[in-house]
Amino acid sequence: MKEKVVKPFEFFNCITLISPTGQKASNLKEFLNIIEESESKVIFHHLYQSPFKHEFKAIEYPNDFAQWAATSLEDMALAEKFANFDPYDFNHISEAKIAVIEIVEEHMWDLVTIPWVRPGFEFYFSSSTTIIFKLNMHADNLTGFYNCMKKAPLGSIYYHFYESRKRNKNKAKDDFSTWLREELDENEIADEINEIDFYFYSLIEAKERILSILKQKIK
Amino acid sequence: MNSLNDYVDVVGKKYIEQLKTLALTLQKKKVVMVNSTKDGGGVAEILHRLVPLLNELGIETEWKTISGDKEFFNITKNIHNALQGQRICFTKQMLDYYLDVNKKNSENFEFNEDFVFIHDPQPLALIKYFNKNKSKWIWRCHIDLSKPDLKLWKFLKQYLLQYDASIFSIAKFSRVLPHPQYLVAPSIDPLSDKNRELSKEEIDKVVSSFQINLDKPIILQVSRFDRFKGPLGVIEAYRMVKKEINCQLILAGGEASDDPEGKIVFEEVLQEAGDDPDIKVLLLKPNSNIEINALQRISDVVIQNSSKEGFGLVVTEAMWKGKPVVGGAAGGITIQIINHQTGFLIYSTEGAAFRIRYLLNRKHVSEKMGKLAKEYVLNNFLITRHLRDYLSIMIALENENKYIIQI
Repeated sequence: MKEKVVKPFEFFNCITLISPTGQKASNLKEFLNIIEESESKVIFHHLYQSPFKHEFKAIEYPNDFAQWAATSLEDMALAEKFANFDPYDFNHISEAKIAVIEIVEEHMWDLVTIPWVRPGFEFYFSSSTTIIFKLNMHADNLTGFYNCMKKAPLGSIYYHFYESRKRNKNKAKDDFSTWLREELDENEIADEINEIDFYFYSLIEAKERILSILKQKIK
Repeated sequence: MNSLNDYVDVVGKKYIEQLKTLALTLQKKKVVMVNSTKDGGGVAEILHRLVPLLNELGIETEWKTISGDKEFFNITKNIHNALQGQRICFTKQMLDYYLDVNKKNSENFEFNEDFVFIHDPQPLALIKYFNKNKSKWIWRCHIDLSKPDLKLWKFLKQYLLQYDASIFSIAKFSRVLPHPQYLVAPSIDPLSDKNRELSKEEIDKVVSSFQINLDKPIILQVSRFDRFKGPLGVIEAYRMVKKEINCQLILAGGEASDDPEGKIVFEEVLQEAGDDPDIKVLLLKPNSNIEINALQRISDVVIQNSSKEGFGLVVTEAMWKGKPVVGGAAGGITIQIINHQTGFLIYSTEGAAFRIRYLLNRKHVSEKMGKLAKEYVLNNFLITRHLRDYLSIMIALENENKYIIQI
């Protein structure tokens, strides 16, 4: 029988350049109006690229909208609704945008007054440009993969473990577990990595978790 | 002068390789940086490092400055203050003079480069005097533009609209504009005299030259003598702390050649300090980098009592030396100080006094915060990250309307 030729895993890195739109919301109504008019790239940035913004703290709120509702608007119920909403459940950003609008509309329906923020705590809308490039790091076996993973910058974790799900239009399809399964037949490790509920992990935490799974198996 | 490879020890080999990968896509491109001074202020400091590093990466980069007389810099100082929210009345004569000096300067430049980066408002109107060819013009705003004087903003905006892109330090400073805007936080150079590790001898020399007594805890503010930096409030906060802890205050600052107001504020500070032997007001000479470095290293708490701030690189510098900073919740200070983690954000003189007291009393917490502050700077505010952002912006502008760019 012919031996399987392994297609090496090529590590990429990505950099995000943030582009503010110059728009800001100082109350929930303004927030809703701007969201309704916003392009997909703005929604994408605030819903999907938040992991880049959590450096030290474990993620309390997994997207920018939930974070703002909690810490600036101080509307905890809205923060919880935004936090529990998972943008990766949608294949298209336009669908996620509609879901966000519905959350705000339903929330406002029951309110007597419109929640507002103090000056300085407004929501500033942004989009981003993502630049993707090869890291010159590749692996064709488990140990090599583990060693590369140790050196992988957080942009690489984002690209392969978060962004890949949008790229593949499949919430369950991250690059790491896909390669481990398809190229190395390491189904058990692939399952474990795939089962990490990435939405609640900061990039550092996700990397540490993946490394610990790999380390255990390499032993 | 340090080369790119010297930064490997600070940020790692991989990071430097990434910069080289990004720069490969921009080979043969030419860049010019334009500002108003090569001495003093954060902008000049950044450009002193950024320009040689871009050249080393194979991107031919020149740095040019515009010239102007005292009257011009008085007007541009007022423009700077008005953009940061001060109510100032500009006469037609003042604005015409601003344009005249820009026009005169334009005669000395050609600007055939691929990317023309114009820093701050002083040379903003240069674009009026050029027929735009293939060059991409980018306005790099280093100041707090969150609530500019409306009339002045409208005047400057007519020139800004001609640019291809703008860069702001934080989202709060951006405005609705028809061209792409990018966020780029400024940075410090970890290998410069202002930030590198100092030997004991170097520190001792500074301590003895300023006759500093190390027996009492030191509260330090390093900044230009500028009302927006709140030096009088620092003295007030120190006096509140002094009632509880026998400490000393050092207010140290230099003069920038484009800031004529500095002398007046310096005199006010001297008067307020009076004959208190525990307050030192130091007017530093330009390029007193080792002195500032040493002062930051011997301090127990660093304060930056700004009410308006572009970014506040002096906060970054102190954090890089492992010092927790008590900083006014203004401008870029709010993205550097993660409250209760890398320092304390303050909203009043009382707040400043309270947080300084806390840090002087809780040494262990102060050390822990300082360590986290240094790590935060390492990941976000070093010159290498700044360089990466400029490369990325040029790549983005070469790939207009693409939001995912694979190189």
